[in-house]
Amino acid sequence: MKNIKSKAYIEKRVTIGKIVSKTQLSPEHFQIELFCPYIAQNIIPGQFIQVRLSRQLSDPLLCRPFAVYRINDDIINILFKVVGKGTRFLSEKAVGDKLDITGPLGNGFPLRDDFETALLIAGGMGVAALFQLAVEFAHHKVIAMLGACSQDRLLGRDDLLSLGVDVHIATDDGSCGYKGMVSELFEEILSKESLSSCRIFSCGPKPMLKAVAQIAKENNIPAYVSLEERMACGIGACMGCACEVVSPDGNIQYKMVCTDGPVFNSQEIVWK
Amino acid sequence: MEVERKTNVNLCVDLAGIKMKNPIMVASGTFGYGEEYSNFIDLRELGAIVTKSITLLPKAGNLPPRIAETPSGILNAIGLQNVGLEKFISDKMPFLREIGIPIIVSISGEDISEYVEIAQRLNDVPDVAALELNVSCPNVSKGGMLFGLNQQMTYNLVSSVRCATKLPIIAKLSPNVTSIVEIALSAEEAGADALSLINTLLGMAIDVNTRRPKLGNITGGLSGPAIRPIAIRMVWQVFNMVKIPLIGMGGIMTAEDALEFIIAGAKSVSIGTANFVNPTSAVEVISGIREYLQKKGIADVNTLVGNLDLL
Repeated sequence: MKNIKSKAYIEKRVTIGKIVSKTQLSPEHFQIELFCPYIAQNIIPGQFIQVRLSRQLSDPLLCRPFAVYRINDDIINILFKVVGKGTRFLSEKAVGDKLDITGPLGNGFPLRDDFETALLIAGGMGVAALFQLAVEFAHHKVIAMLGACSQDRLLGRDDLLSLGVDVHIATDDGSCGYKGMVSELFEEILSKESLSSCRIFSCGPKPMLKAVAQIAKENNIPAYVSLEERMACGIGACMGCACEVVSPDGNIQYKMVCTDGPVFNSQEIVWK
Repeated sequence: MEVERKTNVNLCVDLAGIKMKNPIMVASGTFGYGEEYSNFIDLRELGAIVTKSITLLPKAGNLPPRIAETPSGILNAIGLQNVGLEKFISDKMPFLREIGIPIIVSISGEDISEYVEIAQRLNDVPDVAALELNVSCPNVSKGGMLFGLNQQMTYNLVSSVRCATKLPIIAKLSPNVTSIVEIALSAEEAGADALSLINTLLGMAIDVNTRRPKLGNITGGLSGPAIRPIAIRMVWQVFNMVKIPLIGMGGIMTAEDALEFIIAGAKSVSIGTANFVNPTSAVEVISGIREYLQKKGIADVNTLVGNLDLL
């Protein structure tokens, strides 16, 4: 019975997180801290968790996948934007509430130590999947580029600055930093600074990731992107979160964001 | 001090010759090939596993997005993405076999000959407990649900597969019909040993901001608690008309939901969408049913089947 997991091991994977704090960061952004030792001790940057919103209610029904923004001892921190029914529901939870959490799920960013400069490029909520990387790469030079629609929607800057990260900002309305897209800011930084032996880690809206992947390709920089897709199970069973990739033989095939990703080499993705 | 008295209850069921330690199965398409859930539950506790539907050749599936959440339900249009028959036999069956519980292989095809070819090939594969014929997938352009919408086509398909295999045949029926009883009778007459009901209801959802359909396939199959009353009604109607056993499914989240199906006439039940919401759902339903029987002083789960009190 070598393949059948023992019960002691099994029961660790669905765990309970107790909300210890909730902070509203902007009109639509929230940060929730959960006491959840198993996840805190086992998750690696880029992996995700599934949060069940209610045991009693069937609407909203599905769990919601989240990156863990930061870890402090046994406490995990979730950063999210209210975009629909599920995130609104989560934003209305109170300190002391308990949530069923499944994880860690998926594959994180590669943590190999064979580069000099880590370029973290985040669009909007994307910083939620990248902050722990800055912690992980504390012994490297880390440059973070954060994109937001405006200054009051900017996330993660102060936390990154406190780690000593070199932070650059791009806002759509120019209310902070560079006026324009974070991918344009990235091109500008590449043209000004002489960076050698870089690696890109990026998360954000798909058009932004597509632009980052293109720039990475032109400049021959390895790039890893964390993708999002509508997801049901999060564990590779439902085949719901498909994304198109180019396989080594050149054929197009579907991979699952939950179990094949959510982190992919940017050159593998069929960008549309 | 009060001593807790735990009466032994029988959960074993024999479903058309498939011997299960309890009536809880997991529904096709919601449990992958079993392995996906091995980190979360002890698979040996399940009554049976029904695999993701297998086609003769691998299938890539539909254009994303493939999932949309709706009130108390999910619309899906996966499009039968699967590894194909040969890879299923070589890569997936060894793990499933090792679990030691009945493995029911769901099969699908574009035409009758594809179902027959798969059934014949599976005759040579040890430890397949039964075949479930998916005649009700709403998300493929050929075959699938088309068979399950018409009495004659259901009859032709089931009787053709009947000639190709000695394994028990379970026909999984579509609710997207005027009379599920007529389809059920055709499947029974053609030699089906059991019926699974229901598959998903054809549905659709639209993002009003973009005016785009929420699914890449435009339409999809609705599952989850939203469809449970329809499924219960259909199980009850069919139970009253056929002699072969029924597997009930449609939005079972808890033991109470499962018991509703059993009382309506299902000899066993399948957990589907709930596996996505909570990977330990199926084992929680098993223990909940055991507790119910103990509390009610019912010695055997089989006595509950179709035991609806109409007075």
